Amino acid sequence: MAPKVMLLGDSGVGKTCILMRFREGRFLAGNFISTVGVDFRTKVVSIDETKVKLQIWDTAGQERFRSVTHAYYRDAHALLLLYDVTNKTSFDNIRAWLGEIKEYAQDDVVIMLLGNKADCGSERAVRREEGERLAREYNVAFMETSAKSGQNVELAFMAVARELKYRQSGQRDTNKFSVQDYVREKQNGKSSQPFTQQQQCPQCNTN
Amino acid sequence: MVTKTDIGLKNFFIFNSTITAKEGEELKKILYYYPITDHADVQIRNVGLVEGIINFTETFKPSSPVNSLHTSNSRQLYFQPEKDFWIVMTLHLTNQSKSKDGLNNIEQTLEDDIQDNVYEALLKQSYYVFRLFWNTFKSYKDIDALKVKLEKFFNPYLKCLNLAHADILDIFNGIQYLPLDKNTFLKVQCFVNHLESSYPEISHTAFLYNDHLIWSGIEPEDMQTIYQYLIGTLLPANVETELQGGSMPRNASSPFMALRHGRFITGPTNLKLAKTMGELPKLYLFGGAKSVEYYFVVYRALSATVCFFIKADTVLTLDFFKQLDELVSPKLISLVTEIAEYCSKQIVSPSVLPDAAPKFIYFNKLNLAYKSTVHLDNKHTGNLACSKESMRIMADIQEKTGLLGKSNETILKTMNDYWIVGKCSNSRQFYIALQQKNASLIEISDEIKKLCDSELKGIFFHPV
Amino acid sequence: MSDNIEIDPGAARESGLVTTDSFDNLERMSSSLDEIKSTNAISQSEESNDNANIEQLDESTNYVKDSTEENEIEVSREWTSKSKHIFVLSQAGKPIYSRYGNEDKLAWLFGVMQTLVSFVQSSDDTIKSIHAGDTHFVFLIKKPLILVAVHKTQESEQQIVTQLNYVFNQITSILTLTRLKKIYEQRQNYDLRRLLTGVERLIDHLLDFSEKDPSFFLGAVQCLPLTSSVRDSISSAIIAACNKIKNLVFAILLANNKLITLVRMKKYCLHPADLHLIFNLVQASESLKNSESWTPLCLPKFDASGFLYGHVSYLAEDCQACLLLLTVDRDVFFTLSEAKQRIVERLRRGNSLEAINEALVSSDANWNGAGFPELRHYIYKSKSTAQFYQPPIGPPYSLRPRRLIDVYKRSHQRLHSSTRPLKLAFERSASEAVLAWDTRGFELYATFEPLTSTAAIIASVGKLLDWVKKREDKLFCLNAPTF
Repeated sequence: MAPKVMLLGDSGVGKTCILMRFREGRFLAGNFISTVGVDFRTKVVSIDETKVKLQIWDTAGQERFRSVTHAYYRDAHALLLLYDVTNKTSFDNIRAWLGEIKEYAQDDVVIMLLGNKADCGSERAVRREEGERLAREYNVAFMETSAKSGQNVELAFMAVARELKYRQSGQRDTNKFSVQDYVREKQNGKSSQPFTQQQQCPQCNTN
Repeated sequence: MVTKTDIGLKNFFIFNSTITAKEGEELKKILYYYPITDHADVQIRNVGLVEGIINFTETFKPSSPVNSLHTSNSRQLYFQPEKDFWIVMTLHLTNQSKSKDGLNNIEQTLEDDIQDNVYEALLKQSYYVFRLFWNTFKSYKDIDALKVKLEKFFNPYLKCLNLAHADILDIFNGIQYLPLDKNTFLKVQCFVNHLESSYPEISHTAFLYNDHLIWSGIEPEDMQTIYQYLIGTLLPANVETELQGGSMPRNASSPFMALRHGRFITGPTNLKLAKTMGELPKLYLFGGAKSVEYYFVVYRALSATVCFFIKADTVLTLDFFKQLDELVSPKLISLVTEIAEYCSKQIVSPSVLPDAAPKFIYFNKLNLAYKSTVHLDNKHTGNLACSKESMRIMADIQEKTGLLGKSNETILKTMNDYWIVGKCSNSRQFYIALQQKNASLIEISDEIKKLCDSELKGIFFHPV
Repeated sequence: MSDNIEIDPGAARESGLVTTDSFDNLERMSSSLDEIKSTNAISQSEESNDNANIEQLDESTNYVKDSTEENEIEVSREWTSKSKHIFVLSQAGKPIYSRYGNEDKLAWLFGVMQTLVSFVQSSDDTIKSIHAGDTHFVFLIKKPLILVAVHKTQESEQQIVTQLNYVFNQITSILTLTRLKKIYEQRQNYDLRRLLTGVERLIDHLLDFSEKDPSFFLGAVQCLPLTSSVRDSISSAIIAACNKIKNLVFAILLANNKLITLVRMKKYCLHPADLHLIFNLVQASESLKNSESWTPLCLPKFDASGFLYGHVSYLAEDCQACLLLLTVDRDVFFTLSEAKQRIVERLRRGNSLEAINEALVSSDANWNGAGFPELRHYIYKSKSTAQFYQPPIGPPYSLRPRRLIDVYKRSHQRLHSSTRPLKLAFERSASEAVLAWDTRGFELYATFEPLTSTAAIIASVGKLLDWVKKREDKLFCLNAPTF
């Protein structure tokens, strides 16, 4: 089993960094590495003792690469759609991205919305609630992540992998929103860990 | 492939943007504009573009103000001789004809024939000649008076501008000296000293034999301009009248009889008939701290020309000229005969040299001396002993020589298998054209060595 | 030494590279893509996708772009003292690229440049350059863009125009010329920067690269020295793995800015200028390392109207040579990915990876032992193959290699002046003696100790040419293999 996962979102939101954190457990500090076209990488994960080889396609966010990324949308089983919580524009563009996904991707593709750079502190420009609202509107899973701290990165990929595995084994219909459920479950279960939103971003409470 | 073309003067103007900043008064900034057939709007537009270019280039803090603008059809050259005053000359290429390879190719080819360093030199010369006779622009308190003078000077000057035959010599703007033996040179010096002590009115003197300078008592930078004026304008015009005056009859028994006496060619030109002194030209010398105005008196006998610089506040009478003539004429004639004799022994005229012999141009920046066996005369009519192409390659070398340090050597082989050489050392520059088709680099460098030994005796060139 | 093309070292009858005149200003563009597509049918849907891509322009305005309206007129001393500024703007004067400083803050300057261009244009003329002492301003009008260089270097106008053309081609390579033109036909005031996010770094890199590498002014490519048997077996490995793949146009293997081999579809050649853009892309893109990438790429000299699609990857963890497989098919990533695996297996089996690694470290440092005591450095360009060879730059230029490049640039410019080209240029200054020689088959640029006699120089050059001849099949790719 080799499901295909695609990372999407504006240029500079941290797609490559999320991937590096997930694959190699490190953060690319400082230098901005711009992806050319689509990068293809793989990572094997274990879900319930089954090996799942994730093929992960990291895409360049720039508009000019859309033509080549569109060609691979339809082969993707899951999409991780990222925005940068410190960049309002990247969040505003999410609706346009979802429009494209609707046009080019398979109807049953798994979509997860990720608000990255959640470690930002006071530079935050998009509140967590705004992300949640948008995710609800489009009926997709949502979480905030940080490639820098590692917060929720593993969780995001694992949730997707699990969902894909379930679908593969025919449990599809009963799990329409299993990603969301799974995420909620996991996050609640781990609420004692240091990466809670409340601690990360005080202004979310005050607002 | 390439049709023959001429470089033409498209326009020539002088302006000062500080005269007015008001909109609608742009025309006031323009002090001189050629051709007057250009509509006022066109004039304002052209000046506006130059102002734009000056401001744009200043943004990048260049080492000097803007020199030139290259476009497909024209070349514009700039010179800021005095603060805020700009002289602009635009050249265009005439006779553009379409060819199979399209117009663009040809334009490109022609464009590179206009060498900035050569034409920038022409532009600067025009200012220095103006300043010689009319003083600096800023010495005029009254703008309208300046406009009148500019009109009076540049209208005829531009008509005589020799664009087609400008070359590397214009860059040097040098002076040809006549090397004399010690004895003859001393005699010239004594002659000058005697005159200057007899007539304290005479501040400075310059002495020429044919086109060659022997003695000058004024600063080289001033002499440079005066020399160009004498050789380029005043003397040729005078020789012409001498010839037309019938002094060269068919019976050659006494071709010099009419000239056995010297005469003034500025001032009272015919002392026997003169009732008044005539109009005496004045000029400005800038060698000192500030400009000084002099009368410019030129006296000529046989092949010698003597220039007297007399303070402009001196009162001059006809009598003064008569006395001076009596003193100068006999002494000068005997001196000239002696010089002529010396020269006939020494000088090999370039035209006598065999065709294949190397042709060279030499220039010494320290005393502004130049020598050329490439130019067959001083008339700037393109009478050359090597191709125009070779001349341009020399100017190309000259342009780059600054990048190569104080002492350098460049040897180039053209597509026609000619060799062009440039050598620089101790502020001296030496350019050679060799038409030896089958020579090798080794043979050429031997040839250059020989030439340096024979032609530039005593001038030391660093090995590098 | 003769003009005979078969005797000149490095000469070959056929070349995978288009041979160029120097100062080929990249005007000619071919339309090879249509040819290939019409001979090898490509599904219609992808063609229409291309169009969709262009029409998408208006739709894409949905994407919001942040804009900061700051008008700052100040330029610093540090900024003005840069040795070469490059600006790119639209015909309407919109800033697209500035090598130094923020384009938005320099908007006024872009406005001035646009005004100068259109002012001169209004009298049916074209502005080319302005010169002010040590500072030169070169304009290149390539519809729909205007490119301007402001430089204090000693390069000639021709050389600067070549660089500006490279910048233009870099932009074209990202968007295709067809799309670039369409964009401005649809909207004159378009802000191209939104389509070029991230390309600034490619242009920055291209400029640095073209200033320090002789390939650009020579219009040629340097090869990694390899014995011909090794090079041939590498080429064969590529051919064997790829010859069944339809629509594969070029396979390029390169390392350290040197070409290892180029395999091509019959009838098609690669222009050195296109290859330089590829070198630049590989060198400037950190992200290509440790992954397989799939990217559209327009090669302007090959076909400026459309994209090729490139599978880009480094051969292996233990061999840092980069392989590019360029095709006209948009979605054959997996086919090419498999082909790449086959290539690497074959190369590994044939010990070619080690041979490449060896060549990368040895870098041929022993040339100096060949008996040229007064020869400091040289560049030999074989004209028929558009390739050149130069030994590593040693003393006294090791610390300032740019100075040597400047010397060569000046010599090159003397030989190839558009109006007064020369056969030979010899220049001696207190720092060095340089001989530049242009024959029908090759160009040679050689730097000597300043006081070397001309006789010694000529003798050295004769020996040097023999030496290059003896090693030509190692220094150059003399074959032009096809799939």
